[in-house]
Amino acid sequence: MEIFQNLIFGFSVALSLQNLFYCFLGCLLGTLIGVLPGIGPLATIAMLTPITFSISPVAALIMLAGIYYGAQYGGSTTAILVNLPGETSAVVTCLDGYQMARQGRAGPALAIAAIGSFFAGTVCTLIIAMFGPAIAELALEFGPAEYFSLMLMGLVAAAMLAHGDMVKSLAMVVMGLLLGTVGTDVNSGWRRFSFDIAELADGIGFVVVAVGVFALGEIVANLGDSKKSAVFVAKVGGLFPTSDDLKRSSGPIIRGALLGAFFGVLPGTGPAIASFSSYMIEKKISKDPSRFGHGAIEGVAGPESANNADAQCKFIPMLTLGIPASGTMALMLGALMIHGIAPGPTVMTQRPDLFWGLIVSMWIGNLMLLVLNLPLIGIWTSLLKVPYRMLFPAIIVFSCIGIYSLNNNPFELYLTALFGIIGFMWMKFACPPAPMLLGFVLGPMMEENLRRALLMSRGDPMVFLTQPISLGFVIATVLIVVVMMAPALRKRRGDITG
Amino acid sequence: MNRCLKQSAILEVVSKPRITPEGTAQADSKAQLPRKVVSISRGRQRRHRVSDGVMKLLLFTLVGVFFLTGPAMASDLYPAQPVTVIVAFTPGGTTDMLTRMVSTRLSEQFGKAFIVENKPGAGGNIGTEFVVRARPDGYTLMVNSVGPIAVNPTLYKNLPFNPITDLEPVVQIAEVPNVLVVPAAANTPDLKELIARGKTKKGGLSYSSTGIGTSSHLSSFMLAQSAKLTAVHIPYKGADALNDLLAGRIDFMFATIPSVMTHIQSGKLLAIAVSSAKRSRSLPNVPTMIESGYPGFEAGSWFGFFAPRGTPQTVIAKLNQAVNEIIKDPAIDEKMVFAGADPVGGSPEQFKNFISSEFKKWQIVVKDSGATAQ
Amino acid sequence: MKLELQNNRDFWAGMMFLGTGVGAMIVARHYPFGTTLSMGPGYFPMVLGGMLVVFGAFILLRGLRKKEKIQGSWSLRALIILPLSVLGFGTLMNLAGFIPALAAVVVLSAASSREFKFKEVLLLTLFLGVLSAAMFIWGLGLPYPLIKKF
Repeated sequence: MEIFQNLIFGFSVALSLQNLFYCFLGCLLGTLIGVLPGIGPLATIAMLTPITFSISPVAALIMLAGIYYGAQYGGSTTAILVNLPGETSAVVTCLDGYQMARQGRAGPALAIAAIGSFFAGTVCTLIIAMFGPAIAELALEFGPAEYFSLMLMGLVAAAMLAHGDMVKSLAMVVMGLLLGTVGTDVNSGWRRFSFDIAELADGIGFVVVAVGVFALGEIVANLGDSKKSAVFVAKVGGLFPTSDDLKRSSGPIIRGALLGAFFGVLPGTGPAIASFSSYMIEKKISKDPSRFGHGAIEGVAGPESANNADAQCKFIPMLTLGIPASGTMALMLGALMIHGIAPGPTVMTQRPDLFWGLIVSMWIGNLMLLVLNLPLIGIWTSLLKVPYRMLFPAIIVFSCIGIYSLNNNPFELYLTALFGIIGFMWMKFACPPAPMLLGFVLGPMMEENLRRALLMSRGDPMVFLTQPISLGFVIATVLIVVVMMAPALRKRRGDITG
Repeated sequence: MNRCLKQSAILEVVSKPRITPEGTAQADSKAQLPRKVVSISRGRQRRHRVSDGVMKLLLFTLVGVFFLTGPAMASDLYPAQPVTVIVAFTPGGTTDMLTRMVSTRLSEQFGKAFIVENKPGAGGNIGTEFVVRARPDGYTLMVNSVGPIAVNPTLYKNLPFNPITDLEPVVQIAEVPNVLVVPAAANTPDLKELIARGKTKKGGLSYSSTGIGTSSHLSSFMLAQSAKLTAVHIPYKGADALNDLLAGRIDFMFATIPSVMTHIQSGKLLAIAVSSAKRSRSLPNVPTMIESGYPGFEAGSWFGFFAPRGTPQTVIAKLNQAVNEIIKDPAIDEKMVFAGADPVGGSPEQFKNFISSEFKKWQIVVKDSGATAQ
Repeated sequence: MKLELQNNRDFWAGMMFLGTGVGAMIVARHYPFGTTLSMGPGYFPMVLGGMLVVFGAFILLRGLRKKEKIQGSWSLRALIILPLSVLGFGTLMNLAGFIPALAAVVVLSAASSREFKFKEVLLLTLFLGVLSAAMFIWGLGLPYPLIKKF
């Protein structure tokens, strides 16, 4: 069994004192920046890269990777506690995690997020070790036509995000798509809806919208509600998940990990897509979908494992093909190149210490993060006992600093304030923000890939049906529509006959 | 108080027509200003007209006093406090990487921190404008590249500043040529075969780029134009462009050397030419476009230090000398070459002349390509 | 009837979608539309704007029929001051530096609550100031001056 030999070799590298130390440092730092909104792994890794020139490339990469996946753990913490998505991928966690916290179940929510992430991390480590290169080749099969069909499927499935009012949810998806068109059009260079404001040329940042709508909007609402504002959470229940919680979560965690791994391998899909997909699937297959949005633990377990799996599997195309699947991966690629290592198909044979050492260190890092995060739950939940009038200014301060640090530009803060007001308005009008965010994430990618595919095929729309993978997604999309329409149709027929 | 006045001074500068070395070019782009923008600046002028005289008088006195005391004294002791180096692009890009490489050494040399701050957005225009409007005391500098300095003045129709006259060139750091790459599976091992295939392929060749108006796009456009090829431009957002190229859905692309180095080494992409005048030190075996039969084809990126207009000459000279020393250091040189950058250096005047020729060159290409950022 | 409309949740939601859709279409009519097989930059915004108009009209009409009320109480004070505190932070970050910006956002945002206590807010400002300076400026090394020199 070559794979075991390789893994044992990896352990021998990753367990060296120096590498263990850097792994721990990375995870710790990652958790910290993950908790803070805005300050993401991208900026942190950029700032730290020059410092890593002086240590060995293996240690450097182990630390930078630790920051990256550590941030995924940290990102969920504030999402659950105060509805503040610390990272892009944590937005979905707000939906049910925050509701759990309001019910005094912040402890189980945080614990299941950590456990799910750890499980997903373990699965991904194994996947990378066993199939890494093979999967990466598959990712190259995804061209613009495939991406478009995939996004289309995601958008149709978005209707499942809706709870309650279907029409409003769909309207919010369209709202998100429209918001996504703000900024320079990649295909033509036109600046849409930018009103001659230079800062709008690159569109509206996801974190800006998410923090504005979720965190700020929520605070405004809480302050308006005299009953809620005095004490944030009446009672904080048990810190750890009950056996019922664990039973409910096991399925979502496994499915989330696999979904995350799938999206992780595809370069060009952002981190929020994996968690959104997991949430939609869990809601669809749940026996009681009405619990979602009101503190269903499945809605935390699935997306959290999905986003961690996504983060880790983003390493596959980078390490095996040298394709950076995200901005952060591009930075790590750059860091490796400065160390004189060219990632790509040859890295496994030329630098096995780096490849296997990193993979094993990711598993060790995940273990560290679990050990680090579980005891922290007590501290985090006790934060909720702080009177709300002192807690919310702190939330706003950290949001502000994080958002300013995105581009070092106050304009982002002006936008956040605006989205705070809009978010509050949406809340009052009972317009759900989650479908809007999904549209906002998918929209630009969908438009870009649709137009790109048509450019490449010189205007032939058949390209979406002649490519087998794309055709598969189109068929799946049609099936989803049929499945969704079926109950409604049946009901109507029932109405007529009965 | 001071700041307030300074800001109104900026408004003045912006709304006044500017005299530039490229007088005709300036008139051209002015003629194309959209009506809306013109009317806004007119409105501003009208509002300021009443107090114009008084304001100007006050301003000149204040600025005069400022210049006589502040920077004149400071320049001997420069730098007396930390210096901010603005990068108009996101962390991790080539500009950012080169800036951090040089700034770390500048900090060591001067014993004062040179802090790198990223102000990305709008193709580099946001960060550039920030520095244009910064106090010209040598404590706000920037490292900028071909895009915001030499291409954007033509590409963007309504830039509220002119990077060529509003910034003082300090020193050129490096040149980063683009390399023309094709998928290895495409069977077009040299430029001749690529062109031949382009003439026969139905619908023409497709080329990808890192965005409209980038040197990656314009280089390919120049190639198609001079080889009389029909080729379809498929723009991408930054590095995403590589994916479809590797999979063979795209026929060719001009990319920065570091972004494709690993793929050239692994044999998935073939490098068939570099766009610099001389061969790149990172890819010594790849011929230049000029060697391949395209005389005058020179279209790479370059990077250099800039300061706001009005920065004391002594400060600029001091920085110029320091950076020139740094890029001669073998350790830095080696790192740069590995990253695909060829160190340049030289005097501020050399850099200034180079910029002005670059501006003229790209102006023609941008206009021919029809690319705009509206 | 008039009072009812003021509180009609779906009426206002529909108006919002309708207004956004119309606004988007008005702005986007200047962008080249293209054709379905060769879309211009105006294609997506125009189509999406149109969809919003349809959704908006539907929701508005349904609101007139169902007459659902806007739920819960709200505070105008919070709705105005809270966004202002965020604006203040951004502006002061550029003008005055990290500490003034931070103090402004803490005091202002705390003032948006009806339970504002001056001494408490002062202590909170001090605490958050030291904590964030330690974490962000010294810990993470963000390049912001604590106080800008004039």
